[in-house]
Amino acid sequence: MVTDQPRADQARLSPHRRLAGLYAVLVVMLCASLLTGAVPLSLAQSLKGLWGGDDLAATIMREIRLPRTLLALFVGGILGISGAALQGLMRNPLADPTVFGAPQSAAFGAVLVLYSGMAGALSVVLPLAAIGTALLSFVVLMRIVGREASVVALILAGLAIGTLAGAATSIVIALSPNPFAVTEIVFWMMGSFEDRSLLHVGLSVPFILAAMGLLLSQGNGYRALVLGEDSATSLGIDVSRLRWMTLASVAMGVGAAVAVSGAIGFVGLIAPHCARLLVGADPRRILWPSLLSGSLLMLMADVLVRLVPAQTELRVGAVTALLGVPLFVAAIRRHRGLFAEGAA
Amino acid sequence: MTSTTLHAEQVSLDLGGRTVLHAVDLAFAPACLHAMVGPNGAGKSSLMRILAQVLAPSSGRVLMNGRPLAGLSANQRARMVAYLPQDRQAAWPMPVRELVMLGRMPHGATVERATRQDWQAVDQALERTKVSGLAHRCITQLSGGEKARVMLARALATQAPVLLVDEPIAALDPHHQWLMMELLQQEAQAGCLVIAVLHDLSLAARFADRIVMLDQGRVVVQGDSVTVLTAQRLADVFDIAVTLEQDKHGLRLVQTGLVP
Repeated sequence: MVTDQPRADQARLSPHRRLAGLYAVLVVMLCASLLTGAVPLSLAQSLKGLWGGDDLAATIMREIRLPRTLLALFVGGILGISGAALQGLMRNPLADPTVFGAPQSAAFGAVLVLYSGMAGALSVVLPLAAIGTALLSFVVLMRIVGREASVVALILAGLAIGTLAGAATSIVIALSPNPFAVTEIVFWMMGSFEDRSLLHVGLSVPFILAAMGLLLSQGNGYRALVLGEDSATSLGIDVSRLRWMTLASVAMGVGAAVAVSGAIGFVGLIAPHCARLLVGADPRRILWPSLLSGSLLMLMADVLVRLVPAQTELRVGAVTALLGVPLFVAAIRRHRGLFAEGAA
Repeated sequence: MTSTTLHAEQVSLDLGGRTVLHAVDLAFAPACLHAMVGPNGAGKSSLMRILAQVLAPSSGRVLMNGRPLAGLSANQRARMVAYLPQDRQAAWPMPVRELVMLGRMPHGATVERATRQDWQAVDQALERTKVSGLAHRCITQLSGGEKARVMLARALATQAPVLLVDEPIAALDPHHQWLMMELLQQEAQAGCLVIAVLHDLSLAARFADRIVMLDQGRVVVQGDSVTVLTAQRLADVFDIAVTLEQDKHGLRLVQTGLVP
């Protein structure tokens, strides 16, 4: 048959149905995120508040819950698809955005702004500084290794940049003269969507959307790389262009994400593995499901931090790790073969 | 398709201060199976990568039918030259039929957007390499011999007039080595210009129409097996002692020892 869908694993549900399930859960979590908060609002009040009016419900919905939900959706999405793209590019299931130092650099830029007292944690300057330093880290990475670099050189240079940015960040914290700034920095670094406004959405989402679009358009390149760089080149893929396109997009998108949410780890690593459970290992086919899985994971974590009663709100970065690790373990068990022989 | 020629013109390659290829000048006749032989480090794989335009030479150029290959766009070149490198490891566990579809990428086809003709090319390639039965299996679950044939099918699916394969029979058992050589011979007989890097001189003598011998980045000799494979030359280039006999199956090589 010409039209049938070949599959590696004979599963009960088709990948299409599983993807549909993912969409359904995502919609449910979106609603849950909009309906969860310190002030109890009924469904009717929430909907009304979302669409208009100027009462308390409208303020809560449009200035607190909507930005928070949108940011979780986009930040989770860009982390997920960045992880999938980098794993495809590196042909390695362990790659994630932190490998190339972009998130660490973005965090350093933001912390520097907080330290210098130029701006508070919720100011507009913060995201701009974070995006700027993330892109700067990409430029430095390329200056170190050159355009025709090998994967190993890239990983080593990324490691150097990430380590440097991390060290610089802790030095800034140690040198900070006032304890309030330290608390602010540390809390910011743990990642949160609390008290973000639509201004933050407006600042970060254009960069994130552009990065998502660029990464989605590179799917054929990642798929050809399944056969290795020489084969991909012989099939007409410009591998060095693919590499810098991917790294630049990740720096831009993840930089923008870190800028508004703080450092949230693990989503970029886990989301692609969740996507593989749903649609198989094809590096092009997992891009979109990885984006959705990242969004879902982030929304779940952000709803959870609002539900757990705690003195200060739990940090979403800690919860993504708590939620993610069991999923990650499930993926490892499911794809043992991948780690045994695939990780060339 | 039957008249496609390939010509390496004064190709030199410097890698990290070492000259890997010295002004290699080679013409490859159409519709032939060419075996490229030579000791380790002779520059065979580098020359193959240059012929496939995966690696740019330091000087010189590659001509196809008299026209420079480098002048073609990446996609045009990919439709003309199919290349199977030494590394045949798949990074992700993908279904065989989808993996072979990668061979149609130069024609603009993907699994999501493939014409009936593309799927036919894929299925024909699977049939020719005798792995149709594995079409829906996962590549990482296959044996070495099966994987090698699937990867060859991927290269054949492109339906390019030139096929370059680097050590296609390394790590295969004698049965699968023979099978693979027969497949390459069939492709050549069907009009494809096939160049294969081989270490097994007996199989090269048995199957190849023409043999190219490289040593230390230079062409030693090019010709049919009887011309190329002489006891003296094998002693000079490979440092091995062999006895050669011509029988009804062709040239028979028996290695008797090393040249001190």
